[in-house]
Amino acid sequence: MNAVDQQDGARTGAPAGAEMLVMEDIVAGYVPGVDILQGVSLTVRQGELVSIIGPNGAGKSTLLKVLMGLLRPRRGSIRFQGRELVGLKPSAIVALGLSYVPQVRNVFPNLTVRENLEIAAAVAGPGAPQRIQRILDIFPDLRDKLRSKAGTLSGGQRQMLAMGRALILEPKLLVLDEPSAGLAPQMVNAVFQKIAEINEQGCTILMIEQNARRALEMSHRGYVLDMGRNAVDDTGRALLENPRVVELYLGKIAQQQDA
Amino acid sequence: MLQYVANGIVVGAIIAVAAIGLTLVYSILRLTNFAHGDFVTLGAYTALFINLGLGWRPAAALPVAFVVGAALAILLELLVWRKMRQMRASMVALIVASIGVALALRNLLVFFYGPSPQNFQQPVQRATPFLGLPVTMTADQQFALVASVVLVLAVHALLRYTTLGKTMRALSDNTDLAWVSGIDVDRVVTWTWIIGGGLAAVGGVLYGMTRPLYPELGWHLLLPLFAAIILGGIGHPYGAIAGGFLIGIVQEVSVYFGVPVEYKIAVGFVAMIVALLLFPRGLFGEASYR
Repeated sequence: MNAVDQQDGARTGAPAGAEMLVMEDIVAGYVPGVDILQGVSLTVRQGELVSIIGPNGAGKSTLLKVLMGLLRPRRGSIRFQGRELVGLKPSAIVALGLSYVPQVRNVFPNLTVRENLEIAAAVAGPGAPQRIQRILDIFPDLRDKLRSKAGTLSGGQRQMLAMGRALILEPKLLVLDEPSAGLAPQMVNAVFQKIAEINEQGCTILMIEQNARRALEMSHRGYVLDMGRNAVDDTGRALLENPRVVELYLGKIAQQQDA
Repeated sequence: MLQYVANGIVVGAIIAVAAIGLTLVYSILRLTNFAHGDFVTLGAYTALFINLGLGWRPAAALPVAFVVGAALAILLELLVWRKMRQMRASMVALIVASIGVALALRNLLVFFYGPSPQNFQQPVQRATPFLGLPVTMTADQQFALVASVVLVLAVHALLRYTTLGKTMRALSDNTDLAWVSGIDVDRVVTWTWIIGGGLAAVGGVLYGMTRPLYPELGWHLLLPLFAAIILGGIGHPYGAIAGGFLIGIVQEVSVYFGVPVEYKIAVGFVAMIVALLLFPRGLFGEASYR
């Protein structure tokens, strides 16, 4: 689609990977007769970091629930590396190489940190101790907390555990719903840095982010959703410079950050 | 007095075994299963069938009762509960369906065995001292107590140390997160039914060793079972165990203090109400995170 074009450290072009995930014309909702998503389409290529931004209620989280098999779409298709995902159990979708970190309630609070990682490692297959060690190398802060109940962790630690739980499956595509939500500014930086590192190591990432400017700066491409439809999509850099996007979706956030 | 406490511990241990399944199913499926008591009855009658038909001792029928209870639980999961979950049935609809299942099971037993009480056919047992303590129990009571304690410990080990047990606890925390963590929730639910249904049936055999069998046995036991799991904090297996022992002991000891035997069940409920006034979320209910 776009040539790789690095400027000012912001990533502007997509890696020339093959199409990994193609969502087409997704219509979905929770209540009969009310469509939250009214025909959303989206493509993620191998190796990309793609962000979905948009105002509250645009249907961003709903789109991810449909992708992961938690909500069945009323129309549309989802192909992951050529396989149709609609109609599969969430566990089968995970088995194909997708891993998802929900925005809230993303760890098992009454299990210890170690138990949270253990059940994920058991799903991943043999070699659980080594898998857990690898996650603890990525998120060393969790080491001291292994015997604590996950419900007692701070917001940042909880997010690290949730991402660790997802990464232990060694996913091809990591799906993140607002990874920076509710975190202290320092933690936000740490989480974004981890996400960039994980992507650079070859893991394709699709994420929703409320912190749109930060997200687009580090993304190869972005989608703007509004009222359950695609509004704009382009490279991360082009979206940041698009006056309409700035006015409608970035202006307010930019002001908040300046204040 | 000690003798009454001992009797209470035996009753309590049996209630605990039967209650674990009820609380596990609630915590994982959010299903208040009114048919659970009839799994207890089914277990007792399975042992009776084997006892009368083959002449086995009731204790020898325990594994068979477990398998029968587990098999029926799986059958109902496939025919009723899974479909209702997929249709996102409300909690009330699930409760009413479970009452329907309970009635069907109970009347099936009445159809085959008649409504009158029956006993296992075996030699009369004399109560003997237990472990050198100043209390006496029949051999069957002793067996029921030991078997219950072993089963309770086995469930503890399962939940604490095995992947299946940890996964079951994860499911009771958050089913959707379990799904997207790659866990095949349907498979874990099936195992929950195997354990819950099997243990209920085993509890029925143990119960039948200590008193006569009749088709409403499980239905009448259901209230003390609910009392036990609510007392312990609904959805907490350890609460169900503690609640079971507490209800059993309070019931039996009340007889020592002059409460007529026919009212001892009510005493168990008074104990539950008092305990809930002190610990509104149950004995184990406060240690839960959201």
